[in-house]
Amino acid sequence: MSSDFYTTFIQPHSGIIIKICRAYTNTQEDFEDYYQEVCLQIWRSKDNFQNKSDWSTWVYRLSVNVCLTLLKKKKNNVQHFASDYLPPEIEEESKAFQDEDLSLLYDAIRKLSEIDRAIILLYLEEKSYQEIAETFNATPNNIGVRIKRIKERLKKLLHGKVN
Amino acid sequence: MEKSIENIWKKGFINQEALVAPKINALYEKKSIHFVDKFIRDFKINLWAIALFTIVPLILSIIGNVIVLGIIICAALLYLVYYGHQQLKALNGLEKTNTSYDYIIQFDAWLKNIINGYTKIYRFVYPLVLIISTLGIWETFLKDEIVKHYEASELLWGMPKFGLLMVAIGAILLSVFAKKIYYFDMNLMYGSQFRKLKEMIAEMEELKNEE
Repeated sequence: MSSDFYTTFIQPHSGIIIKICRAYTNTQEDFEDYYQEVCLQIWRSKDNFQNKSDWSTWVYRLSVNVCLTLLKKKKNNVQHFASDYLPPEIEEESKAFQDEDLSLLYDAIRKLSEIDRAIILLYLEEKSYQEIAETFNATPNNIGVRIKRIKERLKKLLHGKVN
Repeated sequence: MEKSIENIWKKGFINQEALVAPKINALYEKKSIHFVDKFIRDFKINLWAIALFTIVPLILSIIGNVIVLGIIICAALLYLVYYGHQQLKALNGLEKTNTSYDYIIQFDAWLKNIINGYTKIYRFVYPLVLIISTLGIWETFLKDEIVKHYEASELLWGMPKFGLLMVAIGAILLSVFAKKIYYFDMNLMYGSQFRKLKEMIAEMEELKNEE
């Protein structure tokens, strides 16, 4: 991958890639692996990009798909990293953000199902229901209901933890 | 003010340090090591399976009272295990501190070498297994029943010449096509890994050329 490609096509979207990868990983090592794999997949699949959507939307979709695939592979190999159970030492390691509240929010997001994580990340990135619905092949109404449920779940998970 | 998840998200990412991307380097480092480790694991399992399987012809030969034949097959199979084990030792010597590309190229060379080695061994082992198995079956089940249907002139070493000819042709064919049979066998077991390896090398070369 040329550094030009990285600088022009990936780096401007590195923020969203980082946010997605963080949501699907528990350790810094995994995060770096996922990030690299997403970048590599973007480079590999660049010729498949058709101007049907924005480059950023395409990058988002691809990043989520890569993370889901890697997570599935990992789950097949190591069962004890289920999303609803984080061993204390890993929970500790997952605090990759200096902002304590953001760390707690990420921990809560990691406890959601894989698809719910993807939906809430798009919502937090201020994508419209329409855009989210297109990504998941659903209706905007369904997405709205789902987001409401996810937010309720997150609130419960964060209850008493956020200052 | 209540901290909504939207506010936590926005505030958390105002600090740009939270969005520092990891350096993209050694892209294939882990991948290539994992790939080789997985291959070694599968290869060891395969060797163990062959080693355990040697018991089968041995037991059958004891039951059929042709124990020498059983020992020959057993020895041939154990030699396959021994050869594989020796090659694995050589694989452990691969330099993991090399670049991923060099590491995987070294592994590819090792793989080609072991496939060539096994192909040569199988040129003898496949025919040997056919000859010994036929002899074993002949001695145990067929000898007494079949010999009486043949004239003495049709027999060679107490066996029908036609049968011997068929086994000889079969053995020669197995030896000639040993490479194809072995490749077919390897593809069944490691086909997807071989394809991955090919793709990985092609991709690494493409990445190198774009640098």
